[in-house]
Amino acid sequence: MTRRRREEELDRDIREHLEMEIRDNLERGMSPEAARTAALRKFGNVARIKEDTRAVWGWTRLEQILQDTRYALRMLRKNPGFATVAIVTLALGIGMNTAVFSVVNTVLLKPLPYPHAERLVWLADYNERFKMEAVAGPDFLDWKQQAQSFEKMAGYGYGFGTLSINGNADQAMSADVTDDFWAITGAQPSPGRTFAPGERGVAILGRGIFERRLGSDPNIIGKTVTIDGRAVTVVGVMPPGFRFQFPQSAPSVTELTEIDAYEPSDMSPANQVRGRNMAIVNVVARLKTGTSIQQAHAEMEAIQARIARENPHSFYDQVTLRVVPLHEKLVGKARRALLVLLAAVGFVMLIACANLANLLLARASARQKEIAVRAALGAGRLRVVWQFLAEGVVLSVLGGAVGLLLARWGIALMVRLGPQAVPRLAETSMGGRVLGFTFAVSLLSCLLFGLGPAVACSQTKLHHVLKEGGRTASGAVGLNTRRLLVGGELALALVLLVGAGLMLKSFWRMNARPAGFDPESILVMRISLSGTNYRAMPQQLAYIEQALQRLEAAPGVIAAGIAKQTVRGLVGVEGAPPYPPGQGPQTTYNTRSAGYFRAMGVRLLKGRWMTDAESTEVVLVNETFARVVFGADDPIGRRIRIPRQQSAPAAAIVGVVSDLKATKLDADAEPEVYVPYRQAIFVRMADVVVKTAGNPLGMAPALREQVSAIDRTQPVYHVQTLEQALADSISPRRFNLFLLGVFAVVAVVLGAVGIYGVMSYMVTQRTHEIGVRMALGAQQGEVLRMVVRQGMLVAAAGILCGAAAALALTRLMGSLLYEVTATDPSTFAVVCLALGVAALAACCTPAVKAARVDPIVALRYE
Amino acid sequence: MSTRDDEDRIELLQGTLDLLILRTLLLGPAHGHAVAKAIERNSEDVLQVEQGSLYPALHRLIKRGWISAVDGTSENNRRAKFYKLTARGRRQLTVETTKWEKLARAIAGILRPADQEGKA
Repeated sequence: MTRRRREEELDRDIREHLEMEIRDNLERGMSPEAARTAALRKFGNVARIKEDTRAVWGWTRLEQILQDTRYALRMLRKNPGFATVAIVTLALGIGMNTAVFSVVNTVLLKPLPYPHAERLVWLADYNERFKMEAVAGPDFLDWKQQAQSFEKMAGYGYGFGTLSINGNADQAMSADVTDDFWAITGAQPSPGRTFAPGERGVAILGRGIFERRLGSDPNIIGKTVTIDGRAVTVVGVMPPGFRFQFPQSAPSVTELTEIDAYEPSDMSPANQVRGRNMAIVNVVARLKTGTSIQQAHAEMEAIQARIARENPHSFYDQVTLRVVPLHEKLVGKARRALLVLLAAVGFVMLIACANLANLLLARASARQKEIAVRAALGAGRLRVVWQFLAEGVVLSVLGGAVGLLLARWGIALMVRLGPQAVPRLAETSMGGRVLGFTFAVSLLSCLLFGLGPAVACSQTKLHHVLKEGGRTASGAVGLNTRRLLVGGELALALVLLVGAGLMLKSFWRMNARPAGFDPESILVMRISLSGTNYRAMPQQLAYIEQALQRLEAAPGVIAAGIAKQTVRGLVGVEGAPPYPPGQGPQTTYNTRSAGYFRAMGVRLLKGRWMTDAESTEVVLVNETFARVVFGADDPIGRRIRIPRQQSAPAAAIVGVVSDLKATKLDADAEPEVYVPYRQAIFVRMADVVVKTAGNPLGMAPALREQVSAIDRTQPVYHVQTLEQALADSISPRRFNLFLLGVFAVVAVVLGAVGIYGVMSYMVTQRTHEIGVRMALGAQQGEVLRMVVRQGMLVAAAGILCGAAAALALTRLMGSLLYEVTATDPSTFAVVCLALGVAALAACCTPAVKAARVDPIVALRYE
Repeated sequence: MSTRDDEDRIELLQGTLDLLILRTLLLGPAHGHAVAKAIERNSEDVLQVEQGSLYPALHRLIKRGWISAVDGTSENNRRAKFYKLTARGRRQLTVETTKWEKLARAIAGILRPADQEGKA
């Protein structure tokens, strides 16, 4: 039997029943009027009885849901303003949460894209003194031969080099890998093959270079290319979708870039020219099934102890062995920041929910009469609650859908913003887990913002409301709840603002620069000399000399200089007692030309500048060096020993220059020594810095050409302003700051909207009362102050609670800050003030509206 | 309408309505109004049945297969639904009646133990 038919029959049955009853009553001698009333009373609530009967039929729950959903949709269509605000708010919250969760999911939760990734471990010796990890090549060979805990163990290294294809040289990232690399990554070249064991003089090209530079032409297999001057045969191309996610112990280059060419690593003793402690390799291994990381660690300790016994060297006294999951090594540093961002975005969601709860409460109180009528007509309490929830569900679903679109866009933005900022960020995608998360967040938010108003309203005393007649004086329903919600919103917003404020201040601290240092006008380019022509020092120096001359002669150039990547080492001052072992200060020895200091705007504090034509060994030191090593003594004229130049006489300090943060913005100033470039032993790769009078990027092509023209086989690359280079050095911080900043702004806007909504609503509710007050002589100013006072009371409570919460929470982000404490009073003060002002502004419009109430109109109001 | 004051009426126990409907229909098919009337009359107007509550109960019994509905013609010559006891309903009535008598005896025993002793 169809539902409709049943429904009709039930109707007919009931009608029939009532008619019979009326007839009986008439027979008893009642008036027609009374007979009808009596019959109806005896029968009971027709609507409810029908409902109960339908419940017996079953399936009604679903039907009710559909009906309520349709009704909710209709209500939203009829209130486009409310619907838009609600959906946009939700979409913002859900979108941002989904985007951040996608990143967290990819970076922290998803396994690395290699077979048995959960068993991959990073092996390294951590050198306490140099604060870096390193594995000596011969040690790696011993590990691989002796260790039983691992199925596979691969060594690799990578760095910038020159790749020539068909005579066109370009900068390239090349890696050398041992045989097990292929088993560990599971990568199968396509087209082509992997290296045969012991094979030399071959290379596998990266997918990117194959597609971009070679137009995916498979004929490259078997051809010869040149890597750093060595001719090698291409035997394969990496498969599409392969991602190189292997960290480098001493990241001289940005980690995790794309590799353009892979070569077999030559670890034979014949190639170990620099002795046991020099050749450095990175090691990743795959544990055997069932072997724990602790067992592996214990075994490796034993092997390493044996190596140290057999090869006495100070190197082994200062190292501790590290065996950590590869995933942890890769993303460990990003974890804290990502979790902070996830918490922050969760706060935004809570604020959005509070706002929506407020909106719904306002509508609920406006709809009290409607609800009372529905209840009077036989709607059960559950039915009313459910109807509110249905509205919430519809909003959540719509908000969630728009949110997903926003999230897609947000992810694309984040990936563009900082591919280097977070490891694995580029892998980010929205998979099933992310969709599940979005669904859960939508549902939860719907419960959060829908249930409160629903329960509040279902408790309405209906006779109360119906008796009130037209006047909706029962606005008190929910007003306290709403104040509480807004206070909470502001508190959450304040926590976010403090977080963003602290990071912003760190950012300012990092970007603080001395007078004269002007990275916007400085162009940096990298040169890398390779091939047989540049094996010897004189040729290298000749090239650099010519480059500097050409650049300084170019129009618009103020100064040009070179800076060579540097060596770190212990300070050794001639004539001073040696430091106790392991306690001497560390310094970096930098190769510089005289023009470098002019280009960078370094100031001379003491002594004289060095020139490019010093006849004796001299150095400059920076002020930190002078302070750390010599204290109050005069460093000028003292002599220091430079590592790797032990044969040369100790160099005299001729000048002290100002500190300069020229490579990493978030590093503190360290002791530094500057050596004239002509006294360096090995140049090959260096950065050329050019201070320009005009726009450096505009001049970049011409300046690059000046250098390239010296020798076309040598690439000039990484051309950028120093400002860009510095900004890149703190890209993780910029990434975090940007996101946290966006969250904080959204939070404040939502908070302000919330307080505005509550105050406007309160003013509307109290129009009548305000009218009475004004009729009795209250001045406009008094009314204005009253409304503002009430609003600001809520705001102040919220801000106070928020400040307390922030004090507790910002401690967690200590490691994300730079030269700012997590409880920085000035940041707290500024943020509280700013939020207070925003709240005040939000109160003003409703207050002015209240003050403008015309008593006559207000008293007539309903 | 009723011969007794409302105060004297007793609200029906949950579930007993089913039993009363089945018992009423044992006498023959009847439409809803007639069932309600019969229950009221036979209980000498003590049991107060909100007449409407009959309908969910009737539909529940149909669903369980204890009664069935047939179309018929009412006294005022309108089409009306007549409810009829099924064979299963008849069996169920016996079960329910036994159950009810047991319950009634038990409760009576608790309320008036002396009486019972006297009988024994």
